[in-house]
Amino acid sequence: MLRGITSVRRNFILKRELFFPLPSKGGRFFFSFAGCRKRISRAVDTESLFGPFRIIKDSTNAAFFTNRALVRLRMDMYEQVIDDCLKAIDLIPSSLKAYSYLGQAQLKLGYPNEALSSTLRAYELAIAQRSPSVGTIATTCLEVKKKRWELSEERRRARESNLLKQVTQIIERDAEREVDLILRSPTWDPIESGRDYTGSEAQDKIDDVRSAAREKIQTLEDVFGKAEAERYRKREVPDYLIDNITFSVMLDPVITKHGHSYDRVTLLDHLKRSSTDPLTREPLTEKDLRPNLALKAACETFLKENGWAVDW
Amino acid sequence: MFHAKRLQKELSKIHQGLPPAGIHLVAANDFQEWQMDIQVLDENPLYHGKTFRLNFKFSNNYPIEAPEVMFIRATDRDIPMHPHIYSNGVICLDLLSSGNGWSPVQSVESVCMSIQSMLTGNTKNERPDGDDQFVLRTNRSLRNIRFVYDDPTV
Repeated sequence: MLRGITSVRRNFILKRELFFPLPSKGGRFFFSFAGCRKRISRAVDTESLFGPFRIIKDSTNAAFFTNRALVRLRMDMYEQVIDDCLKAIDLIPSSLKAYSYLGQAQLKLGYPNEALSSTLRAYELAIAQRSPSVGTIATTCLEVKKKRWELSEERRRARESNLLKQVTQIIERDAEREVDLILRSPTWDPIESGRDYTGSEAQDKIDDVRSAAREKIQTLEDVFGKAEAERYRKREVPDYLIDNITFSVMLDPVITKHGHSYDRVTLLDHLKRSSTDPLTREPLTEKDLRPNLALKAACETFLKENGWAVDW
Repeated sequence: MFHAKRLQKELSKIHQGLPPAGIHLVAANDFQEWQMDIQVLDENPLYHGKTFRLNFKFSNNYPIEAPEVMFIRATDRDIPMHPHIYSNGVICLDLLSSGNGWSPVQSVESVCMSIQSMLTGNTKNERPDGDDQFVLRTNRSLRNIRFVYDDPTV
């Protein structure tokens, strides 16, 4: 429905005053189109169409802001999404939607750390409020972690390839300088040195200098290449970080009274169907669960350095 | 929601590691339905030299919800004789019931192993009581079948 606005319905101008949310219907939008009263050209971009939107109805109702944030999220207007979410959070500090959209916008704008803390906050709220969207939010948390790792990997690779380039240039420059010295050296000047100069002796020396430089560069590239290959070779996830239900690295492990740890979201799902510990089949209820903070920290650290494990 | 990801992992585990002896993946073209072949490894005369085919159906809630597992007929694949296996392939095994029998830590592989050992331990060359009527009645979904698990020996 929302995507439709940007395409088909772009032809019609929206009547501002009728842009109102019905929070009771799960925050769905109800747009009232001002019909064909005023046709606008296709050339008008969505920014100028939606940019002037003002929340007229009630600027103290956070639902207006979260709903508009969602529209803007779909329209790739990420800075505005952040404005709306911050406003909504001001109004309702425990707004799950606001934190969730905020995180998505921050991720799109390339702020993975901020995106992660927003999404994790959304996750905490979803757990506390027993929101049905907790599963989706948990998945997003892991996705953000992966994205954060990808960005840091990108930076690392750029840094290392710059270093490689720089060192290669230094080696080449040094070699050329040496060649230059040889060419200018009076010992190689047949008149000054009085030796029988054929030029081939100098050329041999120059060739030596250049091949030594090439060898150095080759060694350097080998070392860098090996280091990179090593990174890919070691792609294994330790079993103790893996949830026995999802088979993935855990986001928020909880420990049962029998000593087994599971990821919270899926274990709660299981407990809804059967009040047992999945591994031991002994009776288990939500009250028996405690966060496993050490394991959580271990999972976090692992994913920070091994973002690929999210998709593993 | 995470059922595809979880099945993907089970699949890659089956592909890289060797699955336990007598268990082979036949087809896993999507994350809704897989087929597995199983063989009984000991000298049990009932099943010796025979291979049986299992069909797994997964819901979107797998592994929180149990998969639907039954034997199917194919070329050279019959329904094994067993007092808890109906002639239409329906298996009466509490592990597969969506009540307290199933646990989400089970996997396709572990289910195959359970069924394998269920066959290994059997000596009776017979179908469950009332097999004929059951097969006639059972045109409905497996999920609606409620078994009473009264035999602790199997």
